[in-house]
Amino acid sequence: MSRAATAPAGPASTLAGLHDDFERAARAAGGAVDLRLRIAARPVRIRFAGEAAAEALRPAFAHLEAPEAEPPALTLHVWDSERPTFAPPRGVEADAGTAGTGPSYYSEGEDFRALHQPASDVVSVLSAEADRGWFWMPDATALPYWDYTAPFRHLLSWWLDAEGFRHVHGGAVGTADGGVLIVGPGGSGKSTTALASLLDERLRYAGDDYVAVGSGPAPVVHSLYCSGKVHPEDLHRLPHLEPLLADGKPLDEKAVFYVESAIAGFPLRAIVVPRVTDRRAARALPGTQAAALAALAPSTIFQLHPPAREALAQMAQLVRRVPTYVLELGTDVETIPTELLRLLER
Amino acid sequence: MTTRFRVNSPNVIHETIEGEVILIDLKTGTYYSLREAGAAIWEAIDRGAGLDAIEDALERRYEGSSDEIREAARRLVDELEREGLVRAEEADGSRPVFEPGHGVRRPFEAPSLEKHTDMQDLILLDPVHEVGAQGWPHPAPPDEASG
Repeated sequence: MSRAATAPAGPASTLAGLHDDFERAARAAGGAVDLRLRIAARPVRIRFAGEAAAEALRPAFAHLEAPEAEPPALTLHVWDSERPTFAPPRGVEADAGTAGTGPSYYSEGEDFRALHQPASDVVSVLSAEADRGWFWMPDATALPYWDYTAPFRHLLSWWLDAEGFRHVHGGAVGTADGGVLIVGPGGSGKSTTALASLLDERLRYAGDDYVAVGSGPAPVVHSLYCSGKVHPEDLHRLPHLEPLLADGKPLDEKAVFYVESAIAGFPLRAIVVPRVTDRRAARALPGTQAAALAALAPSTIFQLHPPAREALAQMAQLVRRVPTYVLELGTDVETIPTELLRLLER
Repeated sequence: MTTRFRVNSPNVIHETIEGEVILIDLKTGTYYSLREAGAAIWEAIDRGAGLDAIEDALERRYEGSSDEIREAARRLVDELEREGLVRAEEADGSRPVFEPGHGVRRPFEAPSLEKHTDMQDLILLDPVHEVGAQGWPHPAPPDEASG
């Protein structure tokens, strides 16, 4: 993964046209809709071309909306329908046609990073100064659930990277005084643990899949998305989520929730690796740092493009700084928040 | 000339935490862990050791017959090579010197390489192609730019 590859003149001049592409799309869609957020304690402005695009993607950021106060550290331009005036990459699509989200095409130069995901046909471009980005999709209302529940994932991860944060694969819950990072592969109980926290009003939700973590001696978790996802067959174990079900979204693959009361972030107090057991009550046991690193690092590194090789050392540093636990999940999900609160009081 | 082993950088990244090594192959998505004698062997390889120096490092920390230790070390190094995590190379010069282990030597147990392939699906199903050399993004032909 060479970051040193320099871009020929073509991309730079093409990127310059993105601004015009967005403005033209915004005019056609009835004007730009501005969303002001605070992400990782920084002002972020998202400009949508038209209401439809804004409506489709703003729910995931409902908890981070903030009044316009200072110049944005990042401005994203988001539009659909009218394709950007640059072409998708060519000549490398012979091995396309796999399942999953399909292959992606990544390019970077001195002044940009760009990703095209042909399966959903989404294009993400971030300028190297990392204060401007562009996101194009064919139809804002037809994105797959993994895109509309965690919009602009690549753009935000590249930007956070430049700002000294790490976009990690994990859920997080806690209080303003501190919380836990919940790590593990899909199916390990990460989402269940995070979403069960809503059963106890003392705990606040910060995400079930992706959060940002600040480096430094006192690590801090920053929420990115207030969305949550569970398999429809697991819904009966989490009946308290029903009022939060996102309207109009099919339940075929995942049931989607938006938790508007989610917290923007908290100091990181512990890392928790859930494990599904046949116990009744949840129980936290001390875990090894290596097990926490193995649960956190590989999926953090491979979820995003390009794989973030430096994340392993960063995650190891994080794991050394806070206690790690195995959280044995039981059949009674109501005991999960109680056990997490007990752990946070230690 | 002696045969030494090297970590297969830059494809392989690794961290040692509480004496356990986590290894990640960035090309395949496979990740591995090594404990105890396995972690000691990895540390020796990371310092450019050959089989003799690896055996020396193990004998300073573990109690066991030389044959047993040599055989177990050879087996693990072969496996690391097969997995593409290390590569052998011919080299001159001095071999790394290992300090004696702290405290009493522990009984030797043959190490094993724990292998996890759950990330491979992600890599194989959703591969990422770098297209920087082709200069993407590039302007679309006029007929597509209007679409």
